Amino acid sequence: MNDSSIAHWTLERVRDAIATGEVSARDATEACVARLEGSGRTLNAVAGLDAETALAAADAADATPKDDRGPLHGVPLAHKDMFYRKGRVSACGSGIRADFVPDVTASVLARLDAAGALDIARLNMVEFAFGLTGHNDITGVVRNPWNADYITGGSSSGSGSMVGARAVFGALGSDTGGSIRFPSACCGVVGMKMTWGRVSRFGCMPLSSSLDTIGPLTRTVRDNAMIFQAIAGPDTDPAATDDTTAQIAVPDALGTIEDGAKGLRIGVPSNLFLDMAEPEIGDVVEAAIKVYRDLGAEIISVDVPPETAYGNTFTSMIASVEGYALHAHWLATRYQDYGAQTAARLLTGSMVPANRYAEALMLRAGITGTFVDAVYDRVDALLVPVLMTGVPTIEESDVGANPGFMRMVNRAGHATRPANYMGLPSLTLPFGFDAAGLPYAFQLMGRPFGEGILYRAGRAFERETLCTDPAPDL
Amino acid sequence: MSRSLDDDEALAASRAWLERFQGFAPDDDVVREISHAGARFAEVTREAAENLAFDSDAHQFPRLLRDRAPDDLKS
Repeated sequence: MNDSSIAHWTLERVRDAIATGEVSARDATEACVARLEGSGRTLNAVAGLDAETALAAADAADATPKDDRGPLHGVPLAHKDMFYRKGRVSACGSGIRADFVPDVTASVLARLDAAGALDIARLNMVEFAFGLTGHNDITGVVRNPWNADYITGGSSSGSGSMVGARAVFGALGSDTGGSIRFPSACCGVVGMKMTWGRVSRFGCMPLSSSLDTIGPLTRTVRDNAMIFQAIAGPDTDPAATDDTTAQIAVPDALGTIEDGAKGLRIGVPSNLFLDMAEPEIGDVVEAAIKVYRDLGAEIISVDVPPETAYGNTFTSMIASVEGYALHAHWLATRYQDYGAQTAARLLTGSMVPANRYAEALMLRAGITGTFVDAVYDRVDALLVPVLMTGVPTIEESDVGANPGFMRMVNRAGHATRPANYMGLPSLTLPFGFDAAGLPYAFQLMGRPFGEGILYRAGRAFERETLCTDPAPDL
Repeated sequence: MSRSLDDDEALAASRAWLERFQGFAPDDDVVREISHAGARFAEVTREAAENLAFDSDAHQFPRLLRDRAPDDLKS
């Protein structure tokens, strides 16, 4: 078996091949390690890789009796460097935590372990997960596998880059304001921002408890649903409990994922989401709508409640305030160890009156209820853009904390932050390329805990357009 | 870059705030940027709070998400 061909398989394909004995977990892991050591290093996506440990884990997987194997048995994954594993460094994209060794293992990693997946590397990320472009003054910028002069998006920059580069079969990221959807869009992969409370955050680096969510980045929609099935749901270990995880059933997303788009109601917003977008982004959304129409979905224009617009500002504010509360001590004692933009955005939280922060949280249920009732009583998914522009270059988006940088931050998250404020799930899908060869994308926003129907809608689109087939030439 | 008296006063107030409660203040350009951002956040929120009804109990948000979940997942 040619290692390089294994690396181009989907997660599902390699999982099935390991199950039947067509390839071993070692074969798959060797293929991934080779690509992580190659393009992973070149693109600055790897925070930590111990090939010997990874291959030993693969050998142990190959030795496991078939009856003891989980649904992701032997599949090599790697994750954003903010998911704690007991005894292993988790640097969180920072210098401040460069030597941090947690004494717990994140629930999401424990769940993936139980499913049989291999955790073979730590992937670079934006410093403390606070940034949408992917720049990192401390560990360096991660580069886009489609063109290394362009951003990966952040904050799950390494996850997007390495899934896009076909170096791992899937990766976890986190999304507080768009940090799964941005890198998914920039790197041409599939990313699911889960409903707030769908996945336990126990053992994950916190940024903003009111907003943080965990989710997978993968090459295909089906692959993404497979990781969803493994990580969704409340903690069962009493020693590892995130009480904000909802006690609500996890759907059999894979059981309905091939049901097609016929009969689905796809909403198209008549206002708000495209307000700041370049014309080319509107063209991408129009083209995606046409695909769904041709597939037999009902296309419904939806007037989005105007107060939805507050979601962008409120998300930035809540994240800054809660992030500042977490970082105030380090900001006072180790300010010089932060990147300029990270420190500035955190310090912004010190400038917000407490009553305004409280009001933003108190308005949340009302704004969300109004949005959900206005939109999801009429449609199953809302089709909206991710970025407002094509993928920018690293150089042109390297604004640091220079004057005006908050305007760029505000525009960048225009279409992503509302889902964070309202706690809604949103699936990002790649769709075509711009003139520079960088991916375009769109997102499907769903009702609370509606990930299942998003996977169905996304899979129908993927099956028709083969939008997840192209791979970068590395 | 020229600045108005108001901007200078706002900058000085923000510097004083940071130095008192954070123990230091970064460069003027950064202080000005984060001060403007904080003021914008506060102004947008004030406008929203004046125009929208809101629940005084922020903990209603998780319950609202559960209530709006697909029916077949609630049981």
